[in-house]
Amino acid sequence: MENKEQQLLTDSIRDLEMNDFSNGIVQDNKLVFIVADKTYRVRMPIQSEQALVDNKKNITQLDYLKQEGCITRKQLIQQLKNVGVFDVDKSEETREQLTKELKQMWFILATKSSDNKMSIEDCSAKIVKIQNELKNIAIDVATQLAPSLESRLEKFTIEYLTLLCTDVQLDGRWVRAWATMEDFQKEDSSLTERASANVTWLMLNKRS
Amino acid sequence: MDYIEMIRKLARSSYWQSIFTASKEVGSLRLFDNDGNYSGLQSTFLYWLRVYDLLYTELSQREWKYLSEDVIENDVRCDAFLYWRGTMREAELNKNKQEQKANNLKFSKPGKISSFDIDLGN
Repeated sequence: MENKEQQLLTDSIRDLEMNDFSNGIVQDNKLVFIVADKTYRVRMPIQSEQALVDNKKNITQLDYLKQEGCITRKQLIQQLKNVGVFDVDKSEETREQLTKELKQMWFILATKSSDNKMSIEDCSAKIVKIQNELKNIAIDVATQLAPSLESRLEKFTIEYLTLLCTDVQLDGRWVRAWATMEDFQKEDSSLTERASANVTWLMLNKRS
Repeated sequence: MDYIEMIRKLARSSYWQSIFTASKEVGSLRLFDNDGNYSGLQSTFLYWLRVYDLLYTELSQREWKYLSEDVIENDVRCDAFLYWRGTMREAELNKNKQEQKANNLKFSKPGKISSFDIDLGN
């Protein structure tokens, strides 16, 4: 009995710790993370920062358009297809087929009783496999289309937001991690990539 | 564990479900430290709070044969259930529409008096 109570207490503390940690991702509009023993945070941009990012994005778009080899998403898709490197339409067809299969598996799994453990595990494994395949297709398409104007602008926007919205904790105070884009670009990529990834998470479904 | 997994786990926790229920009754109760400019993670969290609130309500009312606590606590099974429930609701909606259409046709058959046959002089 005593052991059982101790276990319950341990589990409760672990749950509490787990919850306390995870609550941080929603308790405010910021995300805190640690890189090389330094504490950083990314936060949501305020209106003026968002306006600045939009303005910079427009200027950058004009710059990119002047560059040699600038290619739009549509043009790149066609070019990749013509030279036989990658067929986005085919990937789209595969994605549609996999989505259909996923829906069928969901339907089957939903009607399984909880007692039917083997069958549930089997269906769940198939669903996870399909979802991973869908994820891989999305990654493949994004990688192939990375040189396009739209993808480059998207990358620029995230990086600029990261520059504006990343703070580092120094002597208990939050200060901007980088003063300029040049500083940001000189920074170790493990930090900038982590910060950019967190900004992407923070902005999830917030940008068109 | 990715952020979405964490968000769903938090959203279905009894702690957040209680806070969510209380916030519906007490308007001044704040869920977050910030009042506006919600992050995408917070918006997603609010979405899942509502989904799990609804699922727990439907579970207590035994509305669906295939809904159980096990299903709610497992993301893959929960996704499957939500999809299945969606298709069931859609089928029900289509059935109702068809019935309504059939009823309307019955009403407008000649020889039978219905509100559709009355000339209001417009």
